[in-house]
Amino acid sequence: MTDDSLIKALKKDDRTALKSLYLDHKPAFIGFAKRYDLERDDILDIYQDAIIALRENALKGHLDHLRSGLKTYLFSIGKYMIYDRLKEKKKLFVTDEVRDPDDFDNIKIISIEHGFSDRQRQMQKAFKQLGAKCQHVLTLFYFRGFTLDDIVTELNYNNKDVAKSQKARCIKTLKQIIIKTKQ
Amino acid sequence: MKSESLIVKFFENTLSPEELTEFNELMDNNEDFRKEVEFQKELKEVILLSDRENIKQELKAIEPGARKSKFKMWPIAASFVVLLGISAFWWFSDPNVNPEELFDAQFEPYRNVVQPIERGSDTKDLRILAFRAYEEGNYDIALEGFNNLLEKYNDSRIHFYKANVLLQLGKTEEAIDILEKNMTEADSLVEKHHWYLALAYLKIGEDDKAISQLKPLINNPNSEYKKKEAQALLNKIN
Repeated sequence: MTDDSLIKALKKDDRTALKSLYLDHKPAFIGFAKRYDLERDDILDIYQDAIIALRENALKGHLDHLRSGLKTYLFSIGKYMIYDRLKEKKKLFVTDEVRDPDDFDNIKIISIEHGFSDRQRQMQKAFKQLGAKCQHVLTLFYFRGFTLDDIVTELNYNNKDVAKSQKARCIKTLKQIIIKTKQ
Repeated sequence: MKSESLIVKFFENTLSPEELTEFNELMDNNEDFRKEVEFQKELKEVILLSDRENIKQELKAIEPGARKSKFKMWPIAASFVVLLGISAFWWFSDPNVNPEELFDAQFEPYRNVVQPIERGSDTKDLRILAFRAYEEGNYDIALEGFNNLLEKYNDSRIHFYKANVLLQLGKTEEAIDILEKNMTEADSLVEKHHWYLALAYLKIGEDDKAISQLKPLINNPNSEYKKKEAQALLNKIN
């Protein structure tokens, strides 16, 4: 697959494409990361996070006018994350160059957090109890960055009002589930 | 109806400058409106975190090791334990670690989740100016901006970001003061308050107080926020 078609696939949330991207560059990334003082577990963890960050950049359209190759982009993200991890482990000192002047694509998402707060966990549990349709609509709107108009096209709704009230209904249901679980 | 449309447009990033002003006014003066926006912001964050969690699981699952029998994994696991032991020994016995370095290694200002910033857009909106300075690392300007905002509105989230700026500027005691007072007000940011307080106490050498802020993070069954980092830090302090 060319970089262009791969980016298009990623933007459509094509998981098969994501996994093949992951597997294609894994050996090279591990080879590249070996020069740093990191365990293999750490390297794999970082590589997975770099793939996640790349996907989020793609979904947000940040890769639409990519000047470097996709692999270079992926490795740039990975490199920042390696530096972060080294810093965390106190194996990197501030005098070391962290920003690479050769990175000409301005990468938007270069670090990602995984931690849920208490409230967020509760909300996640409630979210998972919603019907598939509601989860889909809310994910399109809040995560994929779809506007209501985009959702109308994507889900073949008749008009924007349908999308709007569908979304409002889902939020209402979500709130009800949260209240119920608190009681 | 009107306010619902404003919220939709806020999340779509399609608010006009006039609508943005209207939006911010409602945020400052209408409690129900603000709560609704906060709820949806939290939902957005939850969906993002859930997505990351899912993708991470999927990627882990295609690792060859994930399907192998546990038996075959033992030698690998055992060698990891040894490796971990060695690096932990090196790490924990490092005599050169001082509180200042611990703080520097862990501290980074909490990211802006309050105000989305459009690059290059011209604005006089105080909130945008303050958060833009914050994101760009112009902490003196950000501090001034947050102070101006706080004169007008007593917003717990702004207090939190102000504390972050103070930490960045080395005004640790001032930051502690704010975080301690703000903790009970900032419902959705409680875990973050614990974390930054722990780092701040560490920096001024108040290890016991740092520990008492780390423990709620470590012992919280429902939150993963900074749990690993808190445990690692606790081990180092002891």
